[in-house]
Amino acid sequence: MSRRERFLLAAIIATAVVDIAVPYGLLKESGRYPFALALFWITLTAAVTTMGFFYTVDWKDKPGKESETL
Amino acid sequence: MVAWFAVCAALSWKTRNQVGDGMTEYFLANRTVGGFVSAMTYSATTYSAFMMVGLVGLSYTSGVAVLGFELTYLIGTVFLLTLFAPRYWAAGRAFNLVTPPELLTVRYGSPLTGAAASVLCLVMLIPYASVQLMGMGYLVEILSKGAFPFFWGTAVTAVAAFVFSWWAGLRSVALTDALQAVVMLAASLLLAGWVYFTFFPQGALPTLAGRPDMLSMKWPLPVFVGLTLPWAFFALTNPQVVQRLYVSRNAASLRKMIMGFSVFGLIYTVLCVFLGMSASVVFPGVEKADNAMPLILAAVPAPLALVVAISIMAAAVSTLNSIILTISSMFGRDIVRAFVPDMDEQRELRFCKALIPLLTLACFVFAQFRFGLIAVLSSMASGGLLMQAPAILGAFFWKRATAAGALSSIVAGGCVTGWMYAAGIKPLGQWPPVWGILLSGAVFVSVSLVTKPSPKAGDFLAAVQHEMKGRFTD
Repeated sequence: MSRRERFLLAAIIATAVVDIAVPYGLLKESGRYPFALALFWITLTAAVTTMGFFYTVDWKDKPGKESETL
Repeated sequence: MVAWFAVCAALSWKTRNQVGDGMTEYFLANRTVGGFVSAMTYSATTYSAFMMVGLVGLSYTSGVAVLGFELTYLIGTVFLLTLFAPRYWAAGRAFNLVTPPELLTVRYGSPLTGAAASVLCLVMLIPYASVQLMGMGYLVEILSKGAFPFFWGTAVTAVAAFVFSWWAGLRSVALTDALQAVVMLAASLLLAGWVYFTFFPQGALPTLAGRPDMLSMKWPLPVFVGLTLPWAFFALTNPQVVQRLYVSRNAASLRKMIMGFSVFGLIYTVLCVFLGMSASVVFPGVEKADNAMPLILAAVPAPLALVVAISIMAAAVSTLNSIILTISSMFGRDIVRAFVPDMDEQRELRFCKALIPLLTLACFVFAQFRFGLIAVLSSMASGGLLMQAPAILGAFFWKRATAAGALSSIVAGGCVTGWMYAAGIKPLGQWPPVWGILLSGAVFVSVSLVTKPSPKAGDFLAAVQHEMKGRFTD
C-alpha cells in the first residue's frame, strides 16, 4: 500500500469514528442548534467528496487511448 | 408513461447497431464508457425506487437519523471507490474480467469461489430486484386510485426493464440510465422546491426547527450500525455496481464517474430526506410511512406528480435492469462456466441473454405474491452481500489469502447472516450483519492461515499494479 493510500486508510478510520462519536456524543442533544446534525453529515460528506477530488486529481490516461464511444 | 417508455425504447434501439460480438461487448460496452454516462448509470443503478418511496417513508418516521444512514453509505462509497475502483478497473483489463465474482475466481485460482459469490448474489439480489417491481405496483395503484391495479404497475415496469436491456446490453442500459438519472434528479429538485415554497406558510426551515424530534438522533447505536454497516460496503459487495468499475474508458472517465456520482448522491439524498421530513409535518399521523410520497404527490399539481412518478419508475427500472443484466452475466460466466470451462464465448453469451427474460419473469412472478418475507429478504440483501467483503479485501491486500479461506468465509457468513435475519435473532442487541462479518472475517483469516495460497496470487497482484502504473500511481 502506498503512502497516499495509507493516508486514505487513516482518513477512513477517522471518518468512521467521527461518524459515530458526533451524533451519539457531541450532538446527542442538539437543543440550541436544531440543524446541527443535518449540517454535520452534509459537511462531512462534502469534505470526503472534496478529499476524493484532490486524491484523484492526478489520475490520467496513458497516451494513445481510443476515442470515447459512449 | 407511454411517452417515457417510447423515448427510452428508442434510445435502446438506437444503440443496437453499436453492439459487437462477445461478452465484454454486450455486458461492458467493450470498456469504452465515458465519464458522464458512467456517472449517471452508476447513480441510476445505485439509487432505486427505495429512495423516493422507502427513504422518504423512513425519513417520515425517523427524521435526521436517516440522513446520517444514507450519507454514511455515500461517504463509504466515495472512500471505497477511491481505493478499489482503480484496482477493479486494472484487473478487468489485465484479465479480461466480465463479472465481479470472476475476479475472485482468477485471484484465488478457484472457480468454486466465484460460483459461491455468484450464488450468494443471486439469492440476495432477486428479492431486492422484485421489490422494485412491488414498489411500482403499489405506487401506480395508489396514484390511479385503483384504476390500474398492482399487476399492471409491475407488468409495465418489468417490460420496460427487459426492453431497455435486451437489445444492446450495457450500451442501452447505460444510455437509458443516463436519461433516467437526469429525470430522477430534476424531478426531485422540482418537487422539493414546490414543497419548500408552498407547503410551509411559516417557512420550511423555521417550521422544521420546531420539530426537535425529527432533528435529533432517534436510533439507538446498534440500529444505526446494523443498518449502516452493510450499506457502507455497498460499492464493493453489490455486483451490479461493481461491474460498472470495469466499463470506464480510461482513468479520467473513472474519476468523473466517482465525482459525478458523489455530487448526484449528496443532492438526491438531501432532497429525499427533506421530502420525508416535510411530509411528517404536513401529513402527521400516517400509519404506513411508505404512503408519505403518494400523499405528497396527491397534494401537488398533477403534471408535477406525473413527472415525479415517472422519475420513480425510472429509478426502479434502472436498478432492476442493471441487476438483471449483471445476474445473467454472472450465471453464465461464474456458475455455468465453472462446470463447463471449455464453453465458447458465443454460446456463453447466448445462454446469458436467454436468461434475461427468464430472470425478468422470475422477478415479476415473485412480486405478485407480495411475500412479507420479501421485506425480510430485501433487508437481508445488503447484509448478506457484505459477507463477500473479507474475500474481496484479501484479494487485493493480502497475498497469503487462500481460495479455501475466501470460499468458507462467503458460505459461513452468508448462511449465518441469512439464518439470523430469517429467525429475527439479534444477540446482545447487535444486528445480523455485525455478527456475520465478524464470523466471515474470522473464518477467512483462520482458514487462509492453514491452507495454501494460489501460486498465481503474486502474478495477479503484479498484473494489477502494472495496469495501474502510470494511470493511478506513479
